Amino acid sequence: MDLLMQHLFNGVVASSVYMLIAVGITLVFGLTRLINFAHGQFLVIAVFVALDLITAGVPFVFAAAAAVVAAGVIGWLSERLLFRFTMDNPYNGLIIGLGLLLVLESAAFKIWGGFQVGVPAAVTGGAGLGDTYFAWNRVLVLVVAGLVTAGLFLLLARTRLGAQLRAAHENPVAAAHVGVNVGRMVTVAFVAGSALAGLGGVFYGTLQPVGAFDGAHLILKGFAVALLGGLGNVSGLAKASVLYGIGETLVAGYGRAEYVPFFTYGVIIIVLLVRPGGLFEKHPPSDSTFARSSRGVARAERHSRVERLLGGAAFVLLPIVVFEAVGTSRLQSLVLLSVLYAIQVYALAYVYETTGVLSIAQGGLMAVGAYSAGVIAVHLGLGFWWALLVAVPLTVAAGALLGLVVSRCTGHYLLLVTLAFSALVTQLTLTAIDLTNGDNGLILPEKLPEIGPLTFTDLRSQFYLVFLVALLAAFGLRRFKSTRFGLQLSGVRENESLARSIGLRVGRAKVGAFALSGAVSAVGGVLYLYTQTVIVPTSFDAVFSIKIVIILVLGGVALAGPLVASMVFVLLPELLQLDPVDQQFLFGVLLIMIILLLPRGLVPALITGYSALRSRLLPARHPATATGRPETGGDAVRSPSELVREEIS
Amino acid sequence: MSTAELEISGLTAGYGGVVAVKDVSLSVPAGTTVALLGANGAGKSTILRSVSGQVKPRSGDIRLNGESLVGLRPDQTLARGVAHVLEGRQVFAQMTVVENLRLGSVRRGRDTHEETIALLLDHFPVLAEKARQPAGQLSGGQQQMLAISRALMSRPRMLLLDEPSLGLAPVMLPTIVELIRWAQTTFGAAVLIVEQYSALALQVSTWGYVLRNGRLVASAPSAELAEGDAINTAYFGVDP
Ligand SMILES: Nc1ncnc2c1ncn2[C@@H]1O[C@H](COP(=O)(O)OP(=O)(O)O)[C@@H](O)[C@H]1O
Ligand SMILES: [Mg+2]
Repeated sequence: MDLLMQHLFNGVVASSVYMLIAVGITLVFGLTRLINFAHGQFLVIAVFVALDLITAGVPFVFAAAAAVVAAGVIGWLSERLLFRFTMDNPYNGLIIGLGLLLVLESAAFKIWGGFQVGVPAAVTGGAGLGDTYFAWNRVLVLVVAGLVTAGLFLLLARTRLGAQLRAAHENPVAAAHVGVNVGRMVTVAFVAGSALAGLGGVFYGTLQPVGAFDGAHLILKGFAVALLGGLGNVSGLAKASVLYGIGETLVAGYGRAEYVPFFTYGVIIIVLLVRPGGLFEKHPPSDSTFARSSRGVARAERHSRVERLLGGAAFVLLPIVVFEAVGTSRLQSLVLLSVLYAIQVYALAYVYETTGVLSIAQGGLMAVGAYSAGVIAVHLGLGFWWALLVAVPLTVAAGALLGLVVSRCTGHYLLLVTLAFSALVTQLTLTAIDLTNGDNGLILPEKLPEIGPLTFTDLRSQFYLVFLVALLAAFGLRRFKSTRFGLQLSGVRENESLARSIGLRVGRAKVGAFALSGAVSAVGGVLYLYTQTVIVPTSFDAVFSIKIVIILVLGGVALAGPLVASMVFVLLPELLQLDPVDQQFLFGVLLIMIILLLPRGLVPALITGYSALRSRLLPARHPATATGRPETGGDAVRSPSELVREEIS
Repeated sequence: MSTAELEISGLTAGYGGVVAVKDVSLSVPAGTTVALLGANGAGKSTILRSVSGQVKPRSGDIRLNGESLVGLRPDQTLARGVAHVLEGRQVFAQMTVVENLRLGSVRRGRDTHEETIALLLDHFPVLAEKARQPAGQLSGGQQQMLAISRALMSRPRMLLLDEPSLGLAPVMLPTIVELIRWAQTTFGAAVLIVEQYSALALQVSTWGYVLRNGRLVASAPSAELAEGDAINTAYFGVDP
């Protein structure tokens, strides 16, 4: 099979590029247990920089060098200005990286526009051998990437710097005590990793076009390779890259290019399920080598029960007040949309509150619900009740499956797994055109049914229906937390190994939480379909999932937090008339700021501010708070970012 | 200026809500070995960590030959002459013995580097034999030798040893005692040795301090401590 030879050659060339991308991920992870989500976007920026310079007449070599430097500088800045502050908590670093990805994607779009571009090859032509064509550009990529990789291995094995990097990787505390400046090693890893991503980007750009929003997809590819090789294990990378590169090329060559994402996400999910430590590593990377910083002591202010309830109840009614107060139906439908968001936030809270997992798969779960309902309505003509009957069990099953994968991996892989799940579902809905109508979207032919005398044809009745469901989800979450199962799950969240040691089935608990979340999500998804009447794959993509996470982090999980935060989140961009790209930029900045500045979320902060003000005005009635002594009664308001700030170990 | 190499005054340090060490003052005169004794959890390691910069003191001062070490990172205190051998022999298990030793001198010029390695390997034939093997393959005692040797690679003025006998077979103890004495005479370093069980530490030291619940409860010549009951007091909490 001569075509096979061609695929193998192309696959090996692709491997050498993936090696360059993955090595940065694995270097940084090895030293810090951090996966930098924005890493893929560094590569995208390098492509644009190189293209701009080449278009301006700069020779390829200098353009490539400039792109490498640009990527290195961005990596350096991101470490200095952002990741440096989350070094004691890689989970926070993950979220900051997510924010940075959103910011850099929208910035790239603003600067370079939305078209996919390629980098003109350094050399043209090639030589045929049998039926196989060896393009000189591919040969060049293979040789240079191979040399750079070999140089890196030599540097790690033979030089003082390499020894220091390895020492800092193996045991950062001991390394510091033999005189290694561990902080500087982290900087070195960031800069080197980002620069290599830049080089990988330029090469990748000569093989395939790249667009402003490709960062998320590229980091997942790089992550798939790094994971195959055993995260943090540089020596496994070469084999992993070849395996992945050839696999991908074969999938694209014998299948279709659209199947490649399934290959990527499939690799991630399967490796995590079967061999979380990578294919070539006997021992999975242990978190114990990571410097155990003393856990930040949660200093959540406590509120009297009345104060909390009052605050809660007032906030709960806010959507109704706003809905009735805004005059236009345009704004009213946005308030309705915000409540639909809030249902998803509550669904996420079922998982988050009980297991501590901040999942970026909410959009994926919602899509399963909405699309299954849409498909049976469009293709089988089945109505609302059938939709619920089909969508809920299906989404519960999808949630359970996701929970199963999640329960197999530790805190640091979680976000990536859930992101891969989201991307997988989006890709499915895009690809299965016969069922989903792909990009064009599915238009619902059905209407919400009448219940007795109630009809749901106008905006107001739809709003109250959705609002009621949101309240049910919120109260359900509260009740659920105090059930036996809920308590078990909280045990898992507080201390997983302790929970395990007293006989709780941790894995099963996580599967259960995700299944439950799936049920809530499905109901919300079906309501979304029946009130919005049209769904497109991007309605539920990773960015949507990230929005849900941001709303949860912003609003906290207090009763009305998600409702209020959703409203702010949906209405504000509309009132400011931001286009989607500006919105994405804003989300990214918000996410970063929340993690760095606002540990407990916005609404809890408001309540705290309110009660602090009250205690100042009425000191006699609040002796405990007035003296600055925390009250002992009542439980503290906990917010996601607070937990995120605690070390997950 | 005192003649003390290391002078700790009024040190208070801890972790989060825990205060592990309260108002401790002690000194190690140049060229001598001083023992710091106490039960598990007394705060001994915290004192060493404060000196080497792994833990930031809440208050108090730490001076090496008159120069304050407060606020420095471990790699910076090492550059000033403090070498800290961590509790539990933290060798780099995946790196070879020689690589471990080389790392010990990342802060010093290459000139003295091979010379010191030769000196150490010469003195420890066991390490020389296994020079190219991963350190993880050494026995516990050999790993402790390696950890101390690695600290000596930086030619420290002040050597901090955290429970060097912990987890070692009793037959290894004389070797460790000999190693500490040799290090002291060869490199001229002052030594602060932390131990739970007093025998070894009092044997190599001239002066001893006893720590209980983060506070110093005794300070006397080692010989006196070896006879007296200050140690019992420290361990069992019987006040004299
Ligand atoms: N990393 C840490 N985080 C929180 N508490 C710690 C930590 N290390 C030690 N402690 C506490 O500080 C106290 C003193 O510990 P340490 O200095 O290690 O004692 P010693 O070395 O004498 O056994 C103990 O109560 C211990 O529990
Ligand atoms: Mg100790």
